[in-house]
Amino acid sequence: MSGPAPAPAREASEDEDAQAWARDLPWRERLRRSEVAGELWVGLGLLLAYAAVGFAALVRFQDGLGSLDVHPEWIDPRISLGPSWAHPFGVITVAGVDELSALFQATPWDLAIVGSVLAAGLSLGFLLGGVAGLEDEGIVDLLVTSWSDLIAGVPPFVLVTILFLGVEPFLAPAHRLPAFVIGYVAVLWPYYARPVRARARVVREAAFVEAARAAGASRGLLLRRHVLGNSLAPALAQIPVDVGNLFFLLSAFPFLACFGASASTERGVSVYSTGPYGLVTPLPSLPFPEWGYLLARGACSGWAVQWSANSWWMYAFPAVVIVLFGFAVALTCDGVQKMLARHSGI
Amino acid sequence: MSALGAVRTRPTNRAVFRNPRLRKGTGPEHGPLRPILAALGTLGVLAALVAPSLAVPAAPLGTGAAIAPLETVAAHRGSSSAFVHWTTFAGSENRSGYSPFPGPASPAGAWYTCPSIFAIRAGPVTDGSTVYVGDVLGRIYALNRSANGSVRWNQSVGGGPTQLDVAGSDVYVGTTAGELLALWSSNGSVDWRVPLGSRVIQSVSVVGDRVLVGTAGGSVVSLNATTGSVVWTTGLGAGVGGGVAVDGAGLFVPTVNGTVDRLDGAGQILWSAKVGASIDTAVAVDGADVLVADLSGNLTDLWASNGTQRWEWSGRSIGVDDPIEATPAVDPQRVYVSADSGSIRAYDRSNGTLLWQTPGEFTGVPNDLSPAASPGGIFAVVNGVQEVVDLSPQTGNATWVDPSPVLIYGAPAIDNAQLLIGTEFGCVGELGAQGAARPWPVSGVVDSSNGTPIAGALVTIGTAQTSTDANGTFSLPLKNGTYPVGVFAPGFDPLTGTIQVTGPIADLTLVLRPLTLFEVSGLVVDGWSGVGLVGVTVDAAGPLGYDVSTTTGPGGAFRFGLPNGTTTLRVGAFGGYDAAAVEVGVGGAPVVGARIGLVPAGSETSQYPGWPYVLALPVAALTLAGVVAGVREHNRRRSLVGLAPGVLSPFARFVAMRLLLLPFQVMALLAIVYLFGTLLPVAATHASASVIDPAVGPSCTIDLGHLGCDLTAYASGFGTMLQNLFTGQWGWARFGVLQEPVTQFFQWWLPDSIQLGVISLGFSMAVAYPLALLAGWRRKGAFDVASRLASLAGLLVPSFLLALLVILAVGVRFQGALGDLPFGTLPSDYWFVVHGGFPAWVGTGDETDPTHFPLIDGLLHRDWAFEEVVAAKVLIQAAAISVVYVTIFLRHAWSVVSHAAHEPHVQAARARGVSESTLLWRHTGRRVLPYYVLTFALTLPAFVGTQALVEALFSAQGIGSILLLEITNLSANPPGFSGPISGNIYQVIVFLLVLFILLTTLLADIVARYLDPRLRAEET
Repeated sequence: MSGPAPAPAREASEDEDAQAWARDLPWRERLRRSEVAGELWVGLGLLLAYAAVGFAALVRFQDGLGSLDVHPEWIDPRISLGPSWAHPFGVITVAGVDELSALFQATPWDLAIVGSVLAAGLSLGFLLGGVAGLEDEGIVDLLVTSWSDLIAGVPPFVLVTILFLGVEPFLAPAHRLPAFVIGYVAVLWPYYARPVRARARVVREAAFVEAARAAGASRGLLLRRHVLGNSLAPALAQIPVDVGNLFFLLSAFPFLACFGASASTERGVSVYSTGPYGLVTPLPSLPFPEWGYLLARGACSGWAVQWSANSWWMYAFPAVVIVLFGFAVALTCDGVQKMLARHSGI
Repeated sequence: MSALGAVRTRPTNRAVFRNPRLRKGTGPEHGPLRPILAALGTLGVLAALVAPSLAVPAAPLGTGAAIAPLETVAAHRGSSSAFVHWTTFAGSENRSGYSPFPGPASPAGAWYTCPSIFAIRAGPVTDGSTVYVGDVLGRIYALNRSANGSVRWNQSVGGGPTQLDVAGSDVYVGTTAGELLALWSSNGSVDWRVPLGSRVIQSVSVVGDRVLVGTAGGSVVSLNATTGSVVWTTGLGAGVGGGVAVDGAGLFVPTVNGTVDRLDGAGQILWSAKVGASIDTAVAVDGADVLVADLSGNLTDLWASNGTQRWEWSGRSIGVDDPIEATPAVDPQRVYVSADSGSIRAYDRSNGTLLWQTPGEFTGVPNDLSPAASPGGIFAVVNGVQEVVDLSPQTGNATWVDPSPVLIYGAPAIDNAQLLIGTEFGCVGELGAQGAARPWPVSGVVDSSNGTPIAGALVTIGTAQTSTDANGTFSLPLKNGTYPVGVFAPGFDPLTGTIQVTGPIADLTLVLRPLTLFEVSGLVVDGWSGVGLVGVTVDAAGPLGYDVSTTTGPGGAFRFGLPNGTTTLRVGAFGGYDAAAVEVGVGGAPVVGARIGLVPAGSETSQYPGWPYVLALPVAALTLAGVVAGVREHNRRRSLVGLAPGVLSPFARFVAMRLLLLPFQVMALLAIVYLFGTLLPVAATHASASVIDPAVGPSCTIDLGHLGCDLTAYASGFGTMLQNLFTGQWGWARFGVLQEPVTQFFQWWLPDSIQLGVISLGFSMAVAYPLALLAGWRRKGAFDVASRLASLAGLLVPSFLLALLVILAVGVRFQGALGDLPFGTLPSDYWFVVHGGFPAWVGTGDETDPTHFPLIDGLLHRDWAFEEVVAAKVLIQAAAISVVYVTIFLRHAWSVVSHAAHEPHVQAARARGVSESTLLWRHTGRRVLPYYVLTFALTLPAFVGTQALVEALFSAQGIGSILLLEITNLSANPPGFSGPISGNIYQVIVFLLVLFILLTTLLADIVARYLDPRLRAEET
């Protein structure tokens, strides 16, 4: 859950050269080098597609966006409804939902969760990291460094979980998701602030910043004009990592809770027993249209040690939706990162 | 009462009737009925209007059909439920003379005004702001109450007036000249006047849109209140003796012949009862009773339903002929009468027993003014001695006596805690300061839920407090307001709530439920070994005097039913053990896992000795090593350039500083863990169980109602937690059936985690090192792209799914080859059974002896079958960890390698003709090694997290799975409570984990520095 070491410095000079010689390059070489644009467009296209699906789901479900269409007849763990024309992605039994429609309904929720986490984490990280980098050994610097040192000492998901579980009993179900996002951002922002701070410290010493400062530029202006633009690269490298971690948190705990649980049938009645692991979920109610939860529920219901007993569609489709979304984010971030490197020369 | 939740009034008519608040329909008993009644009322009024015009014959006596219209008409205004002001003779149309609001506590603060010079004959009535009186000559005066009785208007009605009635926008009055008038209350001008041909007797009743009067000619006339047109007239055969009283049961009219007639809303006579002598005043009607006072001095109670006599009190019983000319006053318990002699008498309403009487004296002036009753006092005029008195309803003792300079002719009226009277010589007085009300009597009964009254229950309402008597009843005086109510009785759940008092409350029923008990179970154990102690007596002294004891059963288990609140569980000195006590807080849920640890008499501490200070050792050793190494290196360098050995090198300073900061860092993290992982979950459950010192007794317990107390307990809780964690006093934990010191669990299962961690780390490095090198070596080559995609996929697919896929891939084959599934750390119980049973070196905690590392112990005991299964399981679990971790590691390492592969020294070596493989493995490989170490440190939390999850997924025993078990059960089982594991073991794990990660990171810094000469060079 930490940013990679700064790498693109070398690439930048290479890319600059590439620009200069681009006209003389053979077409194959030009195509190879234009992968930057390709990556970005593919990523953005995919993200746009997700956004369109999310918007369609918003329009389709409106007020009922949070309540899944649960079919009691599918809750029976004995049945297995694979992909068919009626249910292209199959049915997640026990949860009792049509998978395609559930994933569709989940899209706006997940986009909102990812969006709010990233927006808040990035803004906070950029702001505090930038300020900390500019003001050497100030109070903000102390805050950024000490908090990131602190959270480096414990697996982030443990910390997020404890933060969330501490306040959860006091929350109305509808407030759990926002609280979870806040908890996650509290642990997440230093991962953005740290590289931004480091980059800000470098940029601070750059000649053009010195010149701007000499010309009387305020700290806010410096931050906006020179530091933030130049600090985007490390943050962009961190974003896909956080998307992955977020979905890990959203799916791993519901999965643990239902993985140990058992569903059996006694005299025709389904009997459920809970496993040793408690349920930790920020979702207001279950089942809930959320990719991570659907993946967890699908893996619990569909997975079996034997291949023959596996209902693969229950977990494969949610996984594909999540991975594809992660890829879209990663491609977009990489593309933007390379484009920035090419433009700024840093 | 509806505000009281469980506090409810009895659904009797009286409670409904007398308590204005209940009439609002807020009570559960009445709410749903109101719309129905309202609808019936509307229908009834319509029926009453239509019935006469259609000349529908009256229904037979006693049937409901004819009565319905009048009931609803009467409900409109005739009952005291709608009582707001004393708007008519005797307070309300039923002539009960009763105000549910109290009268003046003292006569002080009055005004007198004399608008006329002639005696006030039509006694004061009021709509709140204006007082209306009439003098004997027939002039009606409207007086402004807020301006000391200044005259608003006056109007002559052309004859001696009857008592007045204020309703809507009119003041109604009858005259001795046989006219009935309606005056506009705003200016006194005549709205309408109707000649009735006969003198109107005593008073006018206005109910709904009807005006009802009786005449000297012996008829009862009903007129339209708006127009004055006559709706019906019923002849009675004898002159009417007093005003018409109207109640839900009908119209009640006395005659001078001594009969009382009951009429329905259409004027049909339902019954006629002969009471005796002549009657000279209106009867009082209240509920089922019709109280008739006659000139023979008798008081008779008739059943309103059929006119039969309920009881009679004969005036002769006192041996004096003392006629009664005043209408009796009726309150829920008693009937009050003012006799001509000036004697005021009170009778039991249920049987007519004379309860008390004041002395009377015949002075020639008959005492014919009706008394006014209120919850706190009976106000009466004693004209013989020219006094106005306030008598206690219970005893007849005078609360106050106000001597009047003149005779009083207008009957007293109670309004707004004041008493209005009219006198001879045309004066009107208002006695008592506004708002100086006396308290209401609030009485009721405390019942158990099966209806049995509870004697001796403590009832607290506001600051007033009383105990119930043998019948469970209580009474408290309360002024208007909202009060907290608390009822406590031994053996019952306390009842709390609030009550709003806006009037007297007579039948408040407070229902207590038998004490709700929650099961509290736990163990009495030997504090050192955790072994359960059988046959120990445990006493529980609960709240509200609840006391119970039991004896521990097998395993030291005990079980109680305890009420909500804090209970102290005590164990006396027992078989060489010291006495001990534990406080258990029950907060509306069963409490399991209460634990009383007994320590041998004379021992210093009840804590398990643990591993004191054992943790300080690695920290101290590392500090020492780091500082020594730093100093030596620094001095070596200084000597190289001919300088004398100097102070600490920057790196040694860096290491020392990190180590110095380490405890604070750990403490800060533990503070977060304590706040969110202990304090808030405990606060959320409202319950606690804490060990207290038996010598000191119960100390400050965690009770959320007392903040100061809490803060101390919580603050000391954190201090104790820190102290215990740092000194290795980790207490006990329970895992399934195992109850052991936490250190014991660590001794058993930490080796399992270390074994898995080391193998999976080795596995990961063995894969990641070459993979990253190869990928970084040829950037954008096929291998690079593939590994980057794989890494991204690994990052995005949640790790549990990857682990599941690993199990899916090998699980069945695993079972086929080894006869076991890849779950767990040791072979399954079934496997052991198949392979000759459990070996002696596998212990109760599934730990292996002697080292607790299963792989090593298997080797030592040469159990190859065991070794094979354990190794296979560990390898599969390590593979699952590696699949996830390698992707994380690769993402970090990849850029480092690609950077190193193009460094100048590699380029230079290539120029010298060094082979590519040498360049890759030797030049670049060695170059990236220190960065690998740093990357490992950076990704260590992720590694630990992954291992915890894989342990959980594979049901492997280890510290990681315990951590997840504890954390995921945090809400359901806050620290100190039941759960798969109890004993705050996760705090210990987080503590050790933080120490481990921070120390490893520091170690990685040191190692990386020695692996890379350039890092050392940078420093100088």
